[in-house]
Amino acid sequence: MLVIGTFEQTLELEQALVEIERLGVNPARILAVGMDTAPDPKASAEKRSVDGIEVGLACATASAVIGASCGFALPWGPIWWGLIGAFGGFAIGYAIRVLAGRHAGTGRRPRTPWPEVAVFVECGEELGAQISGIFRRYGALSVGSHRR
Amino acid sequence: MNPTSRSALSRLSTWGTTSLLKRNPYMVAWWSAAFPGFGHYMLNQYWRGLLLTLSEVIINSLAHVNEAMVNSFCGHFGRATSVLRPDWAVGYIAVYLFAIWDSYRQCLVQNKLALLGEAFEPPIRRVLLTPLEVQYIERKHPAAGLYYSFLFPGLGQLYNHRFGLAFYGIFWWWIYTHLSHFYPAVLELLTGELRDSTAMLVPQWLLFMPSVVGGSMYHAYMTTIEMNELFRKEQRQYLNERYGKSELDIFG
Repeated sequence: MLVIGTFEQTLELEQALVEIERLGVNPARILAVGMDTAPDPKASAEKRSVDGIEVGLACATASAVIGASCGFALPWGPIWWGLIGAFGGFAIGYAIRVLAGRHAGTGRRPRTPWPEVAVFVECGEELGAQISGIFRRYGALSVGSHRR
Repeated sequence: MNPTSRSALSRLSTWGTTSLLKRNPYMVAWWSAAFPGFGHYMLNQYWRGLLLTLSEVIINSLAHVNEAMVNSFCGHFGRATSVLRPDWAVGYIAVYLFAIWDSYRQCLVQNKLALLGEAFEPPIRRVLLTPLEVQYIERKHPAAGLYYSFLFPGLGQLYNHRFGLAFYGIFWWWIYTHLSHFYPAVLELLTGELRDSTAMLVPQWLLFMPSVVGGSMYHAYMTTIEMNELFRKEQRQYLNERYGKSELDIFG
């Protein structure tokens, strides 16, 4: 039979594979396929695209410097104005990046966890339940099996 | 010719992971503008980043750039002019602008090298044991890096195994908070003594702090993401090597 599991790429995935091989499954009867999310259609091959948090931090730093500076002359003082600048700047930068990327589907990293590897194990009927159990124990995102 | 000398993309050493990866040149340039040297840290050029940050703190303080900035933003233009020391300020501008330009330019070069190197799929090392350290690539949470560097700049770098930069950052954060009287001023603020709080703050040292927190958070965030990418790549190389010649026929 065929037992199939999808995993995030973690050390636990390797622990699961080691344990399955220890049951006597030949590595040649195991297939592990790396899975990727749809590539960003607008992403440039030349440089890395930025997400909302990155733009947010950049804006937060700039407005915190300006806020703290002006704060020396403003009623609430530099610490409050620095914090207001930081959080306000972050919100603005984040919003601009996420809103600008909404149509293109950019500006956010893929939600985690997502299935990064699909593992196929071919084994006798008697091992099926055990292998599904190992998959689940080591954090498989989903497990399925197929009787031939 | 040894192909690895042309296409190495990552190296694990006592100091952590050094990598040649695709990065965003505008972000790199921006962090150089926030604090000269930070852009070079993002390009994994730790030596020159360190020297540039040292030069920034020393020359900025000698020229009183931060103080002049505070006065300008507060509208005290006369005081801004009088506080600025031209003997240091003019040369400061040259180094400041060079750091931005150089990190931007190098990011473009590194991106091309990374792109060319990737085609060779150079092997990635996961674990390194040295007499005094254990270094490895592992999955990290970007939010944890952000959080710890927000709490205390340098901790996000420590979380990412970059302990050299981490303790350099931690050391400087103590200097900044001490010389700017930041923590006592926060306490004054919390007890409602707003005027005392503002009076005790030292603008020249306080103004380094937003850039250092922001840069440290950004560096920690990016490094976790980059390390996760390396971890995934390395694991896929391994899976491919061990199970790539699988005879399994899923239609069987």
